[in-house]
Amino acid sequence: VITLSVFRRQISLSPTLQAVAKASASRRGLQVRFQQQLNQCLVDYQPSDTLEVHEDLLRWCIWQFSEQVVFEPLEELGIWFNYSSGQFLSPGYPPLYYSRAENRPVSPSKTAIAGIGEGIAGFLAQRLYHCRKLARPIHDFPDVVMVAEDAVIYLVESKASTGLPESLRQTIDAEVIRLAAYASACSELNTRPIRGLLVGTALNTETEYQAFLTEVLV
Amino acid sequence: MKFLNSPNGAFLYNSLISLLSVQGTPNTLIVEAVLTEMVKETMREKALFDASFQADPLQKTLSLVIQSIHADLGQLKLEPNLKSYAETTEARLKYGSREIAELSKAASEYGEFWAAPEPQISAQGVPYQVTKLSLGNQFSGILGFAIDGSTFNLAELQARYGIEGHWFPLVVPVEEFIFVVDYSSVLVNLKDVSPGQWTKAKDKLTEMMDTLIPP
Repeated sequence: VITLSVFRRQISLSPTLQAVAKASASRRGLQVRFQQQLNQCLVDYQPSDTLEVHEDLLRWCIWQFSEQVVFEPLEELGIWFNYSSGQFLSPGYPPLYYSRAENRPVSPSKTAIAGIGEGIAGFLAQRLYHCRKLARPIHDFPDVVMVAEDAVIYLVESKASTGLPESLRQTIDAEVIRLAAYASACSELNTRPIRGLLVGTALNTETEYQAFLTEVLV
Repeated sequence: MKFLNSPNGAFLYNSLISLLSVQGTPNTLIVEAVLTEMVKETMREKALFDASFQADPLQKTLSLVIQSIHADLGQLKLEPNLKSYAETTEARLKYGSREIAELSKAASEYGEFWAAPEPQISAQGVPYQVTKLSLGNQFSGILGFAIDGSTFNLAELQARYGIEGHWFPLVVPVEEFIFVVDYSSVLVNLKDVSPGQWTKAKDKLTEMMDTLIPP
């Protein structure tokens, strides 16, 4: 069983900020301005829930929400934690050892991490926001389109990492721009209310994850 | 549209009709995403069940779905222009459909490894399917799912099994089995139990399917 600690925050975009968000998609200068204004809206995460996630439940969510057919991602991550904690003291973690570049550090399987992150994002969107999957776009943005019981459409984007949670949170802050711009555009082109949901999952150990949820209200 | 092998197909189709039924501002980006998902889901099912879809499954499926949408919206006196949505769907699924066509040919060649789902009807008259599912070394078990958009009655599940989760997906322990229950489906991993226990697990799953409520 995996212990998942959930932290949440909300960002509400004013009509002016939404307009800047949309325009920033095509104007580099506006991206900087949008980031500055957005930084002022970013609030701290608050501890929300601690959930126990059974591995079979997580596997089901990975099958439902991952873009790829991921082969045993939980076991892959287990091997990574064994390797990176020095239990083998033997070099050669995949990909192929002899294809490794001079300055490229050894890193865990991005496929496994992305798959687990997408599974956790879908799980939390269902469990905490009562959403149901409408689409899992291939090669497109966002990761999942979902609908809640009250007909609100959720645009769910996932980021996951085995690195430090602080570094993941910085990645999320940068990603908020993209999601905010897209949610703002969707909001104008759709009659249903739209929300963005960014789920950053820090895979700390085999059995302890943290999820940082940013809900973007437009 | 009716589905045979998708726990989510009926829900997707009904959602699509609901999104397209709105007068005035179209739900453009969301409709694009849902139509593409709908065609992908239908294409997967057709490529498995209907050999005539193995060649060029995308065009055949797209045509089938668009016709069905027009028929249902026609009854509501609506005639939406779906051309641009269809073009977007075609572009997005171009490569995925090739993969599905190749996989469906492989499934035909190795047909003995693939078992068709077993149709069942719950005590409340809800149609559902039961199938074996095997993925990697970590999962080998049974999946049961409604095909008409029926969903599980959460309150009844909580009362009957004393579970603690407040929403789907849920873990429901029943004796030595761990069932994972989602909106319209339930699966149980039997990797670590003896072959003799499969029948017992299937009976427990059948009992659980009686808590499905029609859409």
